[in-house]
Amino acid sequence: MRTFTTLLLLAVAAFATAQTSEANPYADKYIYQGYLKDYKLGQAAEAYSAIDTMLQTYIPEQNQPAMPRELALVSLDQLLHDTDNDATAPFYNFINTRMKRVLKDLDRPVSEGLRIYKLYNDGFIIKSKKATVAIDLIPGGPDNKPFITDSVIYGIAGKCDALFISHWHPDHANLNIAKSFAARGKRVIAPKDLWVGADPLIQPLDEHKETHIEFADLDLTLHVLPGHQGDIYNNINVVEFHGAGTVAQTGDQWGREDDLAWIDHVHEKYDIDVFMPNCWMDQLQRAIEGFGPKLIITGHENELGEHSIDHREAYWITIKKMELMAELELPYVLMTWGEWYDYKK
Amino acid sequence: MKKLSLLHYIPVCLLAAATALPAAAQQRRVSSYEKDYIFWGSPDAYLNYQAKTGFPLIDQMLQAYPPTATPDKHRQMALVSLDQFLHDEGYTRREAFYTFVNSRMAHLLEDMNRPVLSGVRIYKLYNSGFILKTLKNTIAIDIVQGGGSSSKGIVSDSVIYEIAYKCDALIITNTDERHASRKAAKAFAEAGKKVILPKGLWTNLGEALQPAGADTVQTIELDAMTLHILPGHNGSNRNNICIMDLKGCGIVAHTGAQDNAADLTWIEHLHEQYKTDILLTKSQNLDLESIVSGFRPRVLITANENEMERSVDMREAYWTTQKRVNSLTAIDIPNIIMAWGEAYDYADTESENISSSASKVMIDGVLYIERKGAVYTPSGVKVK
Repeated sequence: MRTFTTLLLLAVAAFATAQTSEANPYADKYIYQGYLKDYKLGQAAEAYSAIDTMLQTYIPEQNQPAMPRELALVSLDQLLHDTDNDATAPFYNFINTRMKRVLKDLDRPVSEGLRIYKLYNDGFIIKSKKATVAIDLIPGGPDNKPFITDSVIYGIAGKCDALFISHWHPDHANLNIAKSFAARGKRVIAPKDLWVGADPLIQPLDEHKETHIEFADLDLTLHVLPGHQGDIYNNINVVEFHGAGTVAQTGDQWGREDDLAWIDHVHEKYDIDVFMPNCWMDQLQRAIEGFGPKLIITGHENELGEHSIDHREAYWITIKKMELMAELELPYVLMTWGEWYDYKK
Repeated sequence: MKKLSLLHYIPVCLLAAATALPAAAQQRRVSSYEKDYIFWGSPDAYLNYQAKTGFPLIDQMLQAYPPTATPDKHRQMALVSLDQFLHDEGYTRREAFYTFVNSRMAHLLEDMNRPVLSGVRIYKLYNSGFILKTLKNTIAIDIVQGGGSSSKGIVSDSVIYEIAYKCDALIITNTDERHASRKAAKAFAEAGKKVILPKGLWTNLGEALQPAGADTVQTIELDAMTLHILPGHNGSNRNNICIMDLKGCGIVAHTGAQDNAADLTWIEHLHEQYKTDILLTKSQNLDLESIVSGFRPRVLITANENEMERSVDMREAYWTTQKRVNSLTAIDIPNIIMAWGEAYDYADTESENISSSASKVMIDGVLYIERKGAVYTPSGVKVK
């Protein structure tokens, strides 16, 4: 019996080795029996291509996406919730193709209002006629193989005039990106205690309190509201583009009844046009009511990497959450990586 | 009757509590997901809800963009998305999967009420199952429930029985359970419909069963159809290749589970004897080019995609079928990729002539088809 078991184990091991070491002899016939990894790579490439085509055809618009766009988004969710697809060539190709479009589109002038670009995770770029501001811009992925290649992410960073960071977590803050801004003479506003002394132009707040910073050359004012993710300082960045609109990005604002107490009243002090919360923010409806915006654009969907699939927030979940808040009668725009939306007051 | 003491009830109560508590907990969890859509710590529940969201969208897209020889980007999106959802190893835990399949079967059953005025309408079912509907008859081939050894069939019992009710006959090509379903054969037999099946397969389902297949071509005459059964093989097992001459409505060939290199010597000449309009053949055949070349049909419709009982690497995706068929560069034959529950209308020149002579008529408020002085029900039964 022991001999049989040993032989069986050897046979299984030999089969497994053969699967990984031998090339699929039927690849030219698109038959992948015994070659699951190759099959999944091929399928991911096909799916990403179809999704990209559909997303370009049905661009972001207010409220529930058109059915083909919704299917593209849920297909993207399905791909991104199969960990076999993590960090594969089709994924890198997909995200970089989309980011290259952002890089190119950033050259297109904005004549009125704001153009809002969605990048990886909670990253946004907001472009007005006079300024281009990045918030929580990161390349994503491990340092040795970032999701967005250096040429693309630094190309995008190079087209921005300032960078605002919500909090120190690496899915929001990247020192190399910040340094690239400083190297070009651009200011970086970070939360208290982050990157202290890294560069004179990388400026953590002295105090974690409501702070107003003028950018006269960019015709904008940054209002930092002192939020928290638990005990972590979390800057809620309210960017007032004079005459064009005001956006608020909440970073990973989470919990804290003491914060919610003042968040309830933000709308009394600031005229928020576009509210950009983290999609899994707790008490989201309360926060939305507190900011009183005219439009909602969520961030942070499908964060890959450390999170297990149950915490890679899907696009379809954002749609469902917005349906739950239908009583607010507030429009929302659901965007994915590498898309943009023109907002006019 | 012996009276039970309270002590006797304790194990029963404990068992009831043990089963009721998780059920109650599960119920609470399910309702709470729909209050906040937060699935942290419950990846399987997350995937269940994702399937519940994805499958209906795929269904909508497929309905909006039905099968054609040149599917556009919308249909491509739906098919590759379907491949993704069907390549989920945990699909048997997704109720949305079963709902999807059976809702598509419901579309099919409803569509079968629509008359066929000319040619033949092809319906695709699970695995290699098809229904051919003409003005005069409705033939089912290799209808199976799916699900393998699982106690839960993929296609519901009621759908199988309704198909049997709406069809005139069932043809089974081979004995493999992926093509031959005893439940389907029984449903047809109970409905008084003929079942033509390989020899040696079930003998106790009554007189409706007609064993068929021989070492040479066998020809069977049915109502408005001549069936030619060719002696094919799947490996060493007998496989009846069925060529159905629908008498002016088209000639349709179904190759069942055909997979045998030696048979290719005669398959390659079939086009000389049979003018096949539509070839229904499994998509992942290594000799697909030889089979298609042998039949030289006017239209190719593939079968067997996404056979769920198999491991993921063996569930043939629609996208691989499309790549494979498009790579048959030596053969310029239009191909139609169909998903479960879809219909495709084919009409050759002759049946187009029939079309011009057929018309819908209302008699006592009921729809009939009139052709050359005769009146038929929409399902093709002659009434006058």
